[in-house]
Amino acid sequence: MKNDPEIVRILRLQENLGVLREEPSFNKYDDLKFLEDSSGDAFGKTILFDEDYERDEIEIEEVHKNRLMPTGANNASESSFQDTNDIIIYLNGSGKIVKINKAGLAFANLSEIEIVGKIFWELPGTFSKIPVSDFRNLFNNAVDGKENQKLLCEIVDKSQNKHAMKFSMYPIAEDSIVKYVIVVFQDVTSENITKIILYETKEKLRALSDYFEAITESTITFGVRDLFSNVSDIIFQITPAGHITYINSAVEKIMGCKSEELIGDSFAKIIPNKIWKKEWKKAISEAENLSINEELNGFETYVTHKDGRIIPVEVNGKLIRHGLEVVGKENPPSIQGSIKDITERREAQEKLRKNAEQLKVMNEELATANEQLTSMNEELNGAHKQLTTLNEVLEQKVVERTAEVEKLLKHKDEFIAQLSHDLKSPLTPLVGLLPMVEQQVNDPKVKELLVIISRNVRYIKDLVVKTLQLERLNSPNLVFQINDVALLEATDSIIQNKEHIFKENNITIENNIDKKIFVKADSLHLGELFDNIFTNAVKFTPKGGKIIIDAEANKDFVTVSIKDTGIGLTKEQMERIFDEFYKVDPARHDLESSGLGLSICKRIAEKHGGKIWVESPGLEKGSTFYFTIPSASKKWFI
Amino acid sequence: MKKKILIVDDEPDVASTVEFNLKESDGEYEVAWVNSGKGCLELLEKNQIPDLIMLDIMMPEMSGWEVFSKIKENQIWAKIPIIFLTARIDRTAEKAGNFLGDDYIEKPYDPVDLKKRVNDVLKKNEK
Repeated sequence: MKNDPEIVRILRLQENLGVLREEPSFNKYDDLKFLEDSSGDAFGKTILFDEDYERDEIEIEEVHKNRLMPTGANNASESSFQDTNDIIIYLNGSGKIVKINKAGLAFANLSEIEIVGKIFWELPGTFSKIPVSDFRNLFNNAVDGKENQKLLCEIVDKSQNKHAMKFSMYPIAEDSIVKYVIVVFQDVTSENITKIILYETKEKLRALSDYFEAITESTITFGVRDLFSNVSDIIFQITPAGHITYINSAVEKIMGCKSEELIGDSFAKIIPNKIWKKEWKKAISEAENLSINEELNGFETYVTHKDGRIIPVEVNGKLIRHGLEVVGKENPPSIQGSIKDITERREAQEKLRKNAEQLKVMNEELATANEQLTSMNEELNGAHKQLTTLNEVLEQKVVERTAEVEKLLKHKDEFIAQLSHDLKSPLTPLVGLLPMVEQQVNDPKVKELLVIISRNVRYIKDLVVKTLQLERLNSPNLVFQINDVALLEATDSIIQNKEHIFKENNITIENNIDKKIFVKADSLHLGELFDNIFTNAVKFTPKGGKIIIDAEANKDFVTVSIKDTGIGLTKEQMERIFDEFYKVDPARHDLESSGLGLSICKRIAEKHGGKIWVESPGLEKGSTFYFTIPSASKKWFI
Repeated sequence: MKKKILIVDDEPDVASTVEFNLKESDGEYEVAWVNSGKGCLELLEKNQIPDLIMLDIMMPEMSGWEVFSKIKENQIWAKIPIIFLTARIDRTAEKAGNFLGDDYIEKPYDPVDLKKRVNDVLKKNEK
């Protein structure tokens, strides 16, 4: 019987159902007792008696009851006792076998003599396989008067075939005392199979009903299903076992398969097997552990496109239970959720990652650059130190050179002083004695020669004196001794000194300087300045001419003017007149002028912080020399 | 009474030139010269006191400054007016003329200017 292909099929189905469904709990059937089978075989524990079947049972029992009338009561009942396929045993109150029918003897594989008078649960052979304690419990109950007790058990016969045996106990009382207990064994193996088929069918129906409910529920939960047809994410609903109960059309876009094809199929079909096993199962078991409406968020995995591409997705799920109640069962759960194609996100993440890598590389490059900069900085610092050292050396050299230059300049000054002495001394007799000689000579020819000599001697004298003066003025070692000088007094003294020259040339001098004007000046050089300008004015002013001196003071400077009625100047001459060795008429060999007088004036004016210039309306219209010199304002304002 | 002028200059040409120039003016002055500071002091010690001394600055052995200070140390000699006669053009000449002596004359001088200055100094001292 165990090799029967039909049984095998049923057993399989039963196993599958066991996976699909929770272990059914039949606590409701309290009056039925199921025997635990240690072998784990389906027979011992999964048999279902339902109400209809129960009614059939009772009818059968009634038949038996009628058959089990006391021995010899009628032959018909005796024959039915003997002929029935059920095993019928009469036990007395202590469990000793009073009577057993043929079927019982055949099942026990013992003779009547071997059986009758023995205590049933001490029998050897086939009957020894019955669960003794359970049997005795039932038997004791029966002795106490409890009727219609049933027990299902598995018994292996002599040919080692398994039998599902149901036994019932019926106490037979006489005068309210139980005399006998009739035990009826029924071989219900084939009945059991029928029941299993029935159960399976019912379960299938129930599953279908669940799915139907789920669909209905989904409709309620999701609203109008069409709402999801245009959504870009996959919206799905699966059973915990992974059967797709709903999936929207987005699946076609993402995975390339039609949603209708997928409904009813396993979710594992569209997800790589490895991943399904590793991640989805886990995720689903997690989902099952979730309480209702608790969400399973941000689960990232992969799905397979029909063309084999692996597409990264994010799954969000929610465990829900559906509304319609199935008898004796909690509503079956299902998982609803969405699958979002995160290819773009992944790409973005990849880009981000690459960017981060690039950044890292850039950072490293920056660090390298920084290091280079640091080392460059160090080099620069080194260079700077060297430069500083070099600078110090240079400064030292500059100091040394300056000292040398100063020494040389001093030497030069000494040299000039010496030269001036050495040149001027021999000129003194020439300049001093020639006029005397001229006076004493009467010969006109000799006189003419002497005039020429005198003129040239004067020229040499002038040149030597002025050159040395200019040289001294250019020397940086020359320090002016600035004092407050009364300008009128100073000019009068110079005019007085040159009086004979003015007289000689018949030139009138008019000094209009205000006596209150004071200047900050080096009186010696200021005198030289006036001397040169006067000499110049006399030289270029015809006899009978006039020189007018005036001064105008303001807060900072005093402007002195020396106006003559001389030959005047052209514009070009005015521009160049203060240049060294410039002579108004270069064509004429002017022995009266060294060409240095006005250069000396310019130097002196500038050394005082002032300036010098000349104005002339034109040739033959006279000239006016101007120079400025710092004003000694205090005295001026008192 | 003719004014006595003593010229002190180490260069005989210069000294005699000055002598000639001063003597020229109608025998107004009695002029003598020595060619060293030492010579000048010797004359003074012999009590030959001039009315004016024309003193050269740059002289060997004893410079014009030394001679000047020796003269000023002596109470009687100190009253003798002194005109410096110099070829130098640095400040020493100015100092010598303006602050120490009575005047200074730069070599080479203008003979007219020379006579004028000498005259001025002598007149100033008469008063």
